[in-house]
Amino acid sequence: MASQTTNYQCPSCTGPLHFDSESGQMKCDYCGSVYSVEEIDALYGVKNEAAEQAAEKAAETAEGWDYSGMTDDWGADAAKLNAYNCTSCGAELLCEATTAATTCPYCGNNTVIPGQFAGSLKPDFIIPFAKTKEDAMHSMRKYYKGKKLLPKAFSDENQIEKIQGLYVPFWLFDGEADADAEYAGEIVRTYRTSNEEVTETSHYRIYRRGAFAFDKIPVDASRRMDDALMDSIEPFDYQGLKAFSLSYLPGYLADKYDCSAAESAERADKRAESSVDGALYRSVSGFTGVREIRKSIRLRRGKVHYALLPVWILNTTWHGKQYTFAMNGQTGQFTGDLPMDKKRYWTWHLIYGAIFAAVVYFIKWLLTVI
Amino acid sequence: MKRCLSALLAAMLLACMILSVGAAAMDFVPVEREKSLVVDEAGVLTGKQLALLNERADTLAETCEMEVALVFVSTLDGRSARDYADDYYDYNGYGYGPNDDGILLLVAVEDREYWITCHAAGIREFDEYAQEALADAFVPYMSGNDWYGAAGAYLDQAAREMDHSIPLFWIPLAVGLGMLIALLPMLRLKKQLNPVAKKQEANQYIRYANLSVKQDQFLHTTVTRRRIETDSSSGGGSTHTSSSGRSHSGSGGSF
Repeated sequence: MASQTTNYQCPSCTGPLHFDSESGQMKCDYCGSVYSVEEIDALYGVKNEAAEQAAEKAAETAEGWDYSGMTDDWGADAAKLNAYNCTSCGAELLCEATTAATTCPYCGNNTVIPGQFAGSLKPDFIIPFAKTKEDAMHSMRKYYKGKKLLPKAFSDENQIEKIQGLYVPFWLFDGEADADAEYAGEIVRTYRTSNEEVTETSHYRIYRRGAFAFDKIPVDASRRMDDALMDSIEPFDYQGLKAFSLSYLPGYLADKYDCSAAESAERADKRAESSVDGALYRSVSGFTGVREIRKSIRLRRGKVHYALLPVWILNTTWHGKQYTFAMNGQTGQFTGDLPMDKKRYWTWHLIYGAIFAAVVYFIKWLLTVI
Repeated sequence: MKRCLSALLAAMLLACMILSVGAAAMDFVPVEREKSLVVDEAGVLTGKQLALLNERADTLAETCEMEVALVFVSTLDGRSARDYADDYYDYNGYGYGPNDDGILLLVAVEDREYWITCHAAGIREFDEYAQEALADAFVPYMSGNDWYGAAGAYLDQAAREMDHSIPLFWIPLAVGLGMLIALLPMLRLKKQLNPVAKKQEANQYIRYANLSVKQDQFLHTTVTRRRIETDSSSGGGSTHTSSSGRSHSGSGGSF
């Protein structure tokens, strides 16, 4: 289970460097030096080879102990786990096979594990974090506000157990579509003559044909990540897409895809199809009633991009239930399901119910008086 | 103040009317009612029955500010039931308050005819439907010569027509409806807590959308006609002017 790790050290003081989301540069906490991502990339292209050799030092074997009950066969877990050595303090750490960047719990150094990317695709793009941990905490408190049914204890205790910046792997699908559809439309006109009510229904055959192109429909490529949660923090601003570089990773967790592009494509297809369908249908206007007769959408799949997109994940447990929130690390869009206070629900339901009951009674009273 | 003013106006109107009618001094409309609310000129009720009915009619007049009168006569003396009833109302000074609000049911026992006449606020209160409901209430009794029963049914129905309180069942009904309508804002509040949902469309990622063909082709028109039921009722709500120059509404029939 040999693997290599990279952590970026400050060229001036050898303190750990991390990507600073506010300035978009690599920053040293110790001496305050700031480097551009390109500078560090250039420097580490050379340095990495030396680090590789250092990591290959064999593990020491202690004498006099009985190791007979142990095995180095990880069985099924081998595929899921990876060991690596922290290049700063030498600690050997285990982490999940899809984790590509983490923090050493012993020395706090931010470490990238390039070995984790081995054998899989290199991301085309990355959107660096623009929002900090503080922004995420702030957004969370703001998110609680104005929600009348949220249990007060939940927002007051506000015990976020875990907050982590995570680069989530996404497939971005380009595609085109040709579509045509036929609808039956009616325009109903009703008027009165002196002794008849006349209903005139005009029938139409409606035909629409169009061409559509889609750019980078995102589908999250991590099985661990809830699709609905990731959909809900869309959209990412693709103006911020940068060519991938490992230098953006330190300080954040990064996952690699474990859901292939082929598997994910289905969701992108569905979304594109329903968009085309909607666009065709919405272009039909001026009718009293419209019914679909026939529809055909031909999708042409285009380029697939692999990108790491920044997401703050916040976890909390409340009354034994796990709540996960996500914030778009670029735009700050915050979302997540919240628990409901049943007592508050019924209080508000009764309040609204009483108001509406009074209104209903008042209307009845008005009708009786007049 | 307002009452004084309208009383004054009524007095002036009265003076004008006396002038215009001139010598026909006995045709003027008295300010105060000269007879009781329930009058039995045909002698079909006992004294005790008459007293009971008058008591009820008086109470009704006080609580509803509307006089509900009933007159039994033997014959119409060859006059029309409508004119007889209107004149009886006007020249005997029936009606509550300065405007003489009220309703009078005239029953000609031997001619077997009746007429309901309404004046002032009575016209609005007892529209054609209410008059129909009144007739439906008392006509069966009169057909059976039960005059006291007919009188009771008439007063009861008139009281019901003037009762504008909302039936009790409307309280639970309004509460039920209120709770049901309250579901709408509640669903919105609940949705706030569960915003996480899969996206179904990809509208944000459309680079271009070009609708090359848009055809709305007219095929044909179908026409359906429905006859409208025309109102055939005689319009009991319409008013006419009686011999005293005042307007009345009314309806009548035989039994």
